[in-house]
Amino acid sequence: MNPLKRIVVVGRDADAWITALALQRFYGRRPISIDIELVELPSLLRKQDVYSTLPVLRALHNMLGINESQLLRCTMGTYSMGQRFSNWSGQGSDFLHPYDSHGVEIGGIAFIHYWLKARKSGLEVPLEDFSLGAAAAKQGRFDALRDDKPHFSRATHGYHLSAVEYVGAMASLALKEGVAHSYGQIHSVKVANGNISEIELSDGRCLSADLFIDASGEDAALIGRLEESSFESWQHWFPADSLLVAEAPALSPMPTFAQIAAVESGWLGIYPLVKRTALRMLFARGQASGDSVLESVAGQSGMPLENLVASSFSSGIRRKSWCGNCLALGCSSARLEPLDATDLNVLHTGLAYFISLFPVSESFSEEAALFNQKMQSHVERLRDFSLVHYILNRRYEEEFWDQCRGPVLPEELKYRFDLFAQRAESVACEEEVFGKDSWVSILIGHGLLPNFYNPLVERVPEQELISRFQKILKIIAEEVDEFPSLQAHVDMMA
Amino acid sequence: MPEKTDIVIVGGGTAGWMCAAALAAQGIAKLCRITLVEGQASHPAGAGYTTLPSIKAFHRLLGLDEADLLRQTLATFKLGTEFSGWSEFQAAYFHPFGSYGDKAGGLDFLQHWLRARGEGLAQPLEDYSYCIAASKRNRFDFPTKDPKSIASTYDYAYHLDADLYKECLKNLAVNCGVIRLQDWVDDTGRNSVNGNIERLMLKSGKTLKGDFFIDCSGSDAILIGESLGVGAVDCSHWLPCDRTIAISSSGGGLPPYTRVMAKAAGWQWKIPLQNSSNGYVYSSGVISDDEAANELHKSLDGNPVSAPLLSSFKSGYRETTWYKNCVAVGAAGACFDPLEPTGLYLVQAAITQLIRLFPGEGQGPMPAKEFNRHIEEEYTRIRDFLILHYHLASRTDSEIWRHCKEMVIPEALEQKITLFKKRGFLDVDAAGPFPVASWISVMTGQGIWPESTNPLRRNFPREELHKTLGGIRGAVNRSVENMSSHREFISQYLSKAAK
Repeated sequence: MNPLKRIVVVGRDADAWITALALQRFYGRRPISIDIELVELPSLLRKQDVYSTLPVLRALHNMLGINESQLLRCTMGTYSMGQRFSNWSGQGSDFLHPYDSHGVEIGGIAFIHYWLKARKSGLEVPLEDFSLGAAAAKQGRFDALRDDKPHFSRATHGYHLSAVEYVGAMASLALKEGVAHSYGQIHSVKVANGNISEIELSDGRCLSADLFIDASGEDAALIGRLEESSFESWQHWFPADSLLVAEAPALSPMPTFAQIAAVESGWLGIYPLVKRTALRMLFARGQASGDSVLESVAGQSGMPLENLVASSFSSGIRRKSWCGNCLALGCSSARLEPLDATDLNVLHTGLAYFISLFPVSESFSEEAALFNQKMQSHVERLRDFSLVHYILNRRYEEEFWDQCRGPVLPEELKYRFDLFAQRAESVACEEEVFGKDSWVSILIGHGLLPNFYNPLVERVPEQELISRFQKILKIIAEEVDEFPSLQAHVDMMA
Repeated sequence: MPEKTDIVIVGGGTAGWMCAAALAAQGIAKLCRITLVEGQASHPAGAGYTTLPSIKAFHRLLGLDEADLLRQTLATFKLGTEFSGWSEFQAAYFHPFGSYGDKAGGLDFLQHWLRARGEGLAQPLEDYSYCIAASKRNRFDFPTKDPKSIASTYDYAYHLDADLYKECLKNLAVNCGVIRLQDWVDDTGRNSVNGNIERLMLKSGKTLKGDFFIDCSGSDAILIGESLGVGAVDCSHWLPCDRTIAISSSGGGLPPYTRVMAKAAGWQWKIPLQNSSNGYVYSSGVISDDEAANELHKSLDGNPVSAPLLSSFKSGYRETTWYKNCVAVGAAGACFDPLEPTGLYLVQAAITQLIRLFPGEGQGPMPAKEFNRHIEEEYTRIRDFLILHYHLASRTDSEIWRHCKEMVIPEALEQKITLFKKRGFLDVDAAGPFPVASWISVMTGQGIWPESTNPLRRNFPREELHKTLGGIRGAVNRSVENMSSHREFISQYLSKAAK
């Protein structure tokens, strides 16, 4: 027997459609046959919007049974081997955060320790040159290696997806699955004992359900009505409060990375898509006028811009995303600056935890408690990762950036900084998307050079180390040559 | 050339020699002088070790070949542990080093199986574990790498003769340049400014200087406890046994698993070696040492071949395992009820972390901090898994069992049990020695069967489920038929390796 008979999803855009698709696919069909109903609120999607996503999004697509190459074709999507951060340590500085490792472990000690030692003796090759993923990104290539031979690394890719097309594809899949869909706007939400008892829509319809899912994004149209769920703002860490989106013609040849450039009072992201380029800029309104932002975007990107639209932005987390019979998924649960290709990740993670903890009886407070615990650790680690860029910026004597270096760090991040700064070590956590390689990449990239490394690296004689390094560089150069170029791939698809 | 760093290991037991052998085999003797002060030979006479699959990674670190290990230590293979007398619902259950079902196995398999059981389509859960099936028929073979084969769904460890294992490590260490001192620590000399240990005053009158000390002196904790004054976190209110008596005996067969039998005052073990190792772990509040020795004697399959060896312990761990320039490894760092073989595992974990965070001159507090953070995670995970056994046991025939049933357990463990009982959900760390299948085996073995399951599994067509389960069971049975007996396997393996 199903303890839940009816789930109502209220929301819009990716959060709503992907949730509805997943629930309909897993719980809406026979024999389970739970009623899944989607009430779609007016879309806030703009045609300029883009989703920049991590490799882990593949797991969501797998879960939903989606053929990725088809999906990519119909959403103008491109492959991303990583992100390039430029000007974060002043004009001209840049590094690449690849979705890949750097070098190889030698004698049980991580590569970074050997790199630091070599650097001390004069090596000038940057860390990212020892990463196959970074090399591929710089050459506009993407990973499509045959599995029939061992490879140097596990380079992998995320995506840049055109939001309108992507959501459109998800919506048509959801409708094809048989989701009951209607348009609506909320008139009122009735709350009793920390639960939602009924939702009244503007057209007079009243909805009740065993579980309400809030996929309304920033509005938090349902969960926001429950006192217990309280929202914690992260503005003191992330002072940018405005988001500007724009588009430009497609880049050629097409890069396989997103460019994330620090600008005077914020940052600018440039995301290649098949038929256009998407741009996003996060900035602090108080410190930049509309004109100067426009100028800066135009100047930084060096591209003819179209369709610029600005809106407000805030990041933070809901202390409890699952309260009583209301569950917040996606942006209503937590919002991160899209600085590290984390678009859709909060939704994906929430959905995955929810499915594994799907209620089996009328009481689900234990499930909700664990869900909230897991989401919080997961999202806070994403936040800490993005916070690194701000805290370690080296754009001195710029009001916005000086202020960004100031705040007190979350305890766990402080620990990671200390451990890395003093010993070049990083921590692997249970609930975390970014692995040790990613942490090393951005900490080094932003110039946090450790004071010490593992003394055991001295076991390897200097000559041997040099030849090992040369071998790694040679293998990378050879292997990256076998990767297909994105431009050629796109031309072929056209 | 700068002076070599002096690493001093105190204690010539297994923990001490494991450290010495690992550091030496890792080429650390090139950079450091490694000295081991043996102290009183803490003789585990006649005792056997039972291990976890991760020990193989330790042997790889040592460069110790498997055939050599088997020859030198008369080791036997281990596929898991049989627990008997823990549950009123079944006489015995297995904790396998393998999954239930096929490779995808895990929690997903359990959920499918639970549904099938509800619909009357399933045989007992243990019938779907290749590892358990092989154990029950006393068979052994190495797992295959082909993920499609049912014979890839398990791992294995060893039963080791404690004395011979220590000898093997000692030879390895000494051959790699570890200096061995047959001497005792009388006193320590500490730096008056930073409090570090600087030297050991030995019984022979010699003074031994050191830069970094590894305390492997067992529960005496000569350096970390006595000298540096670091206290212990007591876990005995959860894990109440405090005595061990061990004896070797002839006979007992050669099953590829350890046996653990719950008794009124604690539990007994049987480890299959050339002579089997037997032991009784009990609470001194429940029975006297003499009573325990009598009970153990009565349970022997053959004749005793060693004198009984009595020792006492207290489950718990050091408040700070790496303090100043001293790290505690083995019982000096943590000592848990040996119900699950976590003793050597923790020594190995400490060594792995010590290599990762090897101390360097002037490096500040972070390496020690990170070491302690990591090792405490290991301690807590192990603590909780051990508490699980005691807490879920259905015995009530002595004070300790009644206490363990009623006691308040750590919150995270309570949450795990609740969600498993309610719906067969398990939230298990990816790190640590006990994967999902371990938790499933102990929970279900001790009578916690999930009351419901994720409705998701009902999407899987009934006929197909029936077919899949039947297919797995068939593959298990067919494949186990082709394995040789554990005894045959060992002799064949050794004679093949000799050629």
